[in-house]
Amino acid sequence: MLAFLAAAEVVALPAFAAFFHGLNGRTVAAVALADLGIVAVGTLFGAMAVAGRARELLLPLLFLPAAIPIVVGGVGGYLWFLALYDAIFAVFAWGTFEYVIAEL
Amino acid sequence: MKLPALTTVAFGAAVALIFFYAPTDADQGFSQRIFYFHVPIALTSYACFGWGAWKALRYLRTRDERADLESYVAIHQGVIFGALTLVTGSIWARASWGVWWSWSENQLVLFLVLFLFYCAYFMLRFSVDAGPPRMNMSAVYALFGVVLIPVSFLAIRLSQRFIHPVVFDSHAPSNMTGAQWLSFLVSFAAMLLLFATLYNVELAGKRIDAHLRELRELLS
Repeated sequence: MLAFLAAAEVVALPAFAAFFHGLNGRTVAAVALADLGIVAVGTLFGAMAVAGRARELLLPLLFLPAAIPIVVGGVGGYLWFLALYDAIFAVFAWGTFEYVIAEL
Repeated sequence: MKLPALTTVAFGAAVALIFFYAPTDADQGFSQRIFYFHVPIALTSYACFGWGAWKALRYLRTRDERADLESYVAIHQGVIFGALTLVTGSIWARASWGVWWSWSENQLVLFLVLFLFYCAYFMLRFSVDAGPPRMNMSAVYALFGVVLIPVSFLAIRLSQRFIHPVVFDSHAPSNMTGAQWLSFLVSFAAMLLLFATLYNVELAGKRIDAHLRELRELLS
């Protein structure tokens, strides 16, 4: 998932840089941090959604509210906030993932 | 049952204090009194979500099915109080700011986002067949929510645009007078008691429902 996002951004970022103002290290860092958050939370909710009916519908419903802080942090360029979000939810997803995939 | 009686008394006291004791706001006038409903309801909905997450944690630790049901009921109540928060907030916004809703206010939008997050809890819960996997997922989701709340709060405070007043900041004790604090705290206590009462009622109903289903399965 991270590889897909990175591949998409390698294509998208130069295009944005061409149309708007140029890229700098801050933008790239913010995008990379946002990616990590999206991947951590998306994987957890993806694992939840596949167990349900209407899984294609369920994932965006679960994911979107949880990803709003990434949008707020990313738009504002608050790198420390994105890093905090990543750290919190990476640990959370790591700790709870076994409960989600366990077939008890 | 003592709890419903206590709730009734606390609610009566809160309403009396709000309408006859609390001072009228110099700036907003009478409509400011909805503060004593709006804020306690909002805090109670957070308390519901917190209680739901605590029960979810209990479930993951003990694998006790009762904790799963309790977590679900608490979050259900939280969503009801959340809906009330949006309604009372909207009324107050109309009276005070002249609009029902302002999308440029992060406080409003983020509360709506948290509300929708907990609405999605029911989508998740009822799209998975009953059983341990569903209990696990509901519990993980409930815990996720309670982690998301402080993160969202931080996101609110990051943004600079405010027309929504923030009463509970670092100058909190001096932002309200004694009469206001008393009215507010009594109202908050009444809301929490209301939550506890509704929680017990719904839990009792759900348990009867589960017993009935078991009996029906035994009969058939």
